[in-house]
Amino acid sequence: MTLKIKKITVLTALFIFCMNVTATEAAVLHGKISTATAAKQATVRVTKDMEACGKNPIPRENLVRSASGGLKNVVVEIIGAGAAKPGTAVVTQKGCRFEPHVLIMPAGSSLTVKNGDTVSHNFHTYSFENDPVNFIQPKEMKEKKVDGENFEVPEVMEIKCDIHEWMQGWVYVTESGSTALTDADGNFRIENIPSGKYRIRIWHETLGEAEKEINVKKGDNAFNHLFK
Amino acid sequence: MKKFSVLFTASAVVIGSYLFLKYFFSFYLQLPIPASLMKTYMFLIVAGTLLALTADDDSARKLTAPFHSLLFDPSLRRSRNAVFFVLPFLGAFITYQSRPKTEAPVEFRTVHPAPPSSMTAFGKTYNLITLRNPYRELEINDPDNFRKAVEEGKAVYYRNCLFCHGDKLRGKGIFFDAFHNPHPANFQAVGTIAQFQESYLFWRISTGGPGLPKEAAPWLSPMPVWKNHLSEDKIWKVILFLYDYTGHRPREVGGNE
Amino acid sequence: MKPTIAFIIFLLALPYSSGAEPSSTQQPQKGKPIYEKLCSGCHGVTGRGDGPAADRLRPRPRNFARGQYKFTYTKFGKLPQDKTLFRWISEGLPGSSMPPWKDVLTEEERWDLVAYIKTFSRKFARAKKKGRVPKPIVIGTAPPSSAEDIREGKELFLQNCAKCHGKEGRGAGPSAPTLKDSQGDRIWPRNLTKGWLYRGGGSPEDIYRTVATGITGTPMPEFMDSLSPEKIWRIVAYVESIRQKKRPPINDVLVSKHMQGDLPSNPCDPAWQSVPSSYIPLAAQVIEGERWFKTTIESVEVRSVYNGAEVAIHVEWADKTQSPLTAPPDKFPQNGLDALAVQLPVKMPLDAEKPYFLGGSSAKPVILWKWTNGGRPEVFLGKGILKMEPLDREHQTLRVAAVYKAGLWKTVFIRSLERPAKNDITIEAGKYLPIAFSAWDGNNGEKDAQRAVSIWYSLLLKPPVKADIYLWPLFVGLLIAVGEMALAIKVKKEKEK
Repeated sequence: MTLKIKKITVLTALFIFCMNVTATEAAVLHGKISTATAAKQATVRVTKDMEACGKNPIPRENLVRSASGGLKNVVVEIIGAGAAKPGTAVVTQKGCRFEPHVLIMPAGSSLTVKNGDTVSHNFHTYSFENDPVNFIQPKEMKEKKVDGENFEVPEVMEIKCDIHEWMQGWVYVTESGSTALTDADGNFRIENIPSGKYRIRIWHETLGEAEKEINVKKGDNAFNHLFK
Repeated sequence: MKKFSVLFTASAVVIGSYLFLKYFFSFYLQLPIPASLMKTYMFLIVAGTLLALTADDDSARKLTAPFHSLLFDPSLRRSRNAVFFVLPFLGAFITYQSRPKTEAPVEFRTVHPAPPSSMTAFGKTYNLITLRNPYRELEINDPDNFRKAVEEGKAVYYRNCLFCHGDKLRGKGIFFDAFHNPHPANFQAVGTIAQFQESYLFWRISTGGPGLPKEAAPWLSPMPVWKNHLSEDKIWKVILFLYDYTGHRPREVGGNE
Repeated sequence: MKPTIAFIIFLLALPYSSGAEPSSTQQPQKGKPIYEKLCSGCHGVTGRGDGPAADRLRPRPRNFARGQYKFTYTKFGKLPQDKTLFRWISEGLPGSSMPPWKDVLTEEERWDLVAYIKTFSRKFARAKKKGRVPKPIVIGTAPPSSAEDIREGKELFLQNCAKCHGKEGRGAGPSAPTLKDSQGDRIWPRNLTKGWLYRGGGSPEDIYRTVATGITGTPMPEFMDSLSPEKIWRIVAYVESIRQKKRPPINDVLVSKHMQGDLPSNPCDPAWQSVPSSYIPLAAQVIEGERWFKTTIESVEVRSVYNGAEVAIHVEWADKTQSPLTAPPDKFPQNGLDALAVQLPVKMPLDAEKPYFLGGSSAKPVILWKWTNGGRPEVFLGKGILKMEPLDREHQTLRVAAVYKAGLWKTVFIRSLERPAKNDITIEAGKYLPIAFSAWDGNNGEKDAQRAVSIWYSLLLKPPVKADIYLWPLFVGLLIAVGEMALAIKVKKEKEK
């Protein structure tokens, strides 16, 4: 019995040591994700519902690079840095695109799907571990809440309106409390990270994902990454 | 027990035989008898019944007695008039029904033709009389490798044969309707692979539809010439699989009967 | 005697009995060997839908690791009830590669299989741990539908379904060429007019279920939260009104009717409506050259008429795209040409021997009338599926007209009965002419050997009906009547004796 308790204590100590977490000393991580790959097309081709979808050009968002090489819509996730609290996330189908294009969502959160268009859409999550959802959202259905049960396991899922085939977005379901999405110039900033050693994951819908070791110290930390 | 009239017995035998041949074979055994064969059978049955029942004068008289009384018995006048009225129409109707119709010309086709004594494939000549499945001996000598060969044969089947011969090996794959003349072979039936040596299957699979002799209508069969798509090794393995799945045994070379 | 009858009734009734509830002793370990023998060829030993046949099947076999099932009575994406899995194992999915297994497996074996299949996905265990049970939707039974309901159903269909299924329900809506399923494969909206191919069953309740809950893993969404049950039933009533329930019968003889005057050369000529059609199922060309397993053209329907000089063959088939598309979607850039070929022998056969059904051979070639969308009709001498030699164009008398509308190609091939050149066929009335068909769906990437094919059928130019088909019965009737009179006279005489 004592031996068992001892074992557990040693294991816990070892675990804490490995994580090297000291909860009091919060840190900030910021940086820039960039790429050498250029986007092929600036806008998508709209083939139907021209009245609702065709008035303004719809940007092609699967690879958006700024003049300085910054890459937009990259998820930066610090694995194991505090648990995310489930809440309510929102995604809007407007102008026949998804806003936001990439949505970071704490696992177990519910999702409110809005339709801001004058046409009917469907909303379809292409998930593997989670139960997928796919419902029709007529123009009269301004919003619909999808239960958190459908987002309870961390995974990245594509979201689509299959009626308008160019409409594509992403939901990034995570347990981590320290995540960020890069802005138009590829910059991100994550605050309130307990300092320590972590693995950091960088995910982009087209360029894939990378994982690295990172040592986050008290105060300012910089992290840059270049997608080839 | 009241004795049935001879005519009743005769009709019962004929109608009973007809129903048996028609429904037992088509619905229960799923092996409908072709119309032409049915005609022959029925002719023999009717002739046989008449012969048996008219063997002596007494029973012949009994057989015709109902007809006789229909014609002569005054009490049956109404029935007589009815029969006389109906018969011409019945005759006309049958004649109209048997007018020439648009049925496909009958194609006589040998389903399992006799194999040639030798064939060539894969740059070799095979003597089909002595040819054996090289993997068959593993069944006793090396069961583990035999299972492996069967599994490989299974993969070959599912990648290539499934579409016509089906999941259950009954010839009912997804192209069963489209390739309905001839239908894909049913390997579960007793009349197919259970009747053959493995060398026969090797010949049929390797050379496919176009490899059939003329009496088997090679121009109709959608069976591919598998020697163009599969290796010799894979063909032998898929043969193992066919026997393994269905539980049939191939006929041995030289035969055991 | 009696026990035998009872036994026979029992045997006959066997395939019809079906257990609605699982036996209490479902054992996954007993399902394992059954699965490995019967299911793994398509679904794979590990249940990931990656058996040896998988990549040649469309749709691809289910990946059980996902725990996502197409046709369930639960909301879109939710785990099914056991009895739903039991039903699909028992009855199969019509029109797909999944056959019914109730004729091979006992109920107990099927329940064991259900239990085993569930072990492939973590989701079932997770749901059990959380105490979640599948919640089936309420369907009820189909209410009687009036013409008014059907009309309203059509309105609702046009608003909600036509983007994919098309205005006529043939699956040729504007979104049709752009759809993919959750496994990344191309997927097509169902052609609702072919009711015998509904994967999830064809009863009104089945259609209701599919509309209400969608088809998990596909773009078909659930409608239960935006349409009331009354509205869904009206859509069901409309779908019921446009669907042909049973596959048309297959007849090996195509009869060409004789007519006076000019043949209808317009494929949409109403005169064609009165000509009976023959249904000809097609198979993928899995036989020669570059083999092809995933055709989209399931069948062609053929009609024919002829007069003293020409024969017209009307071929109609469902195709969800008119290829080449003006703007093919980025995801599926294949953009070949839709095409159809009518195949005939070079000579009327004197005996049963015909050319090889798949494009002829050098020893016995065939004639091919090939129409290609946007191109001129061509005539070939076929000496094998890929050995086609164009015949001299100058002498050709073949004319082809084609119209594409709402998911349907309609074409008319007209040619002189007399052969236009020496090495071509003269078509004679009253004789059985071998005829076969090949069809290409350009948007499905089909070309050359990759196509849908038929076996040989017979085209019979039926000579005009002569009076003698009525004269003979009259004659026989009279003959019998005369015989009866003679018999009556004889009987009377004998009685008088």
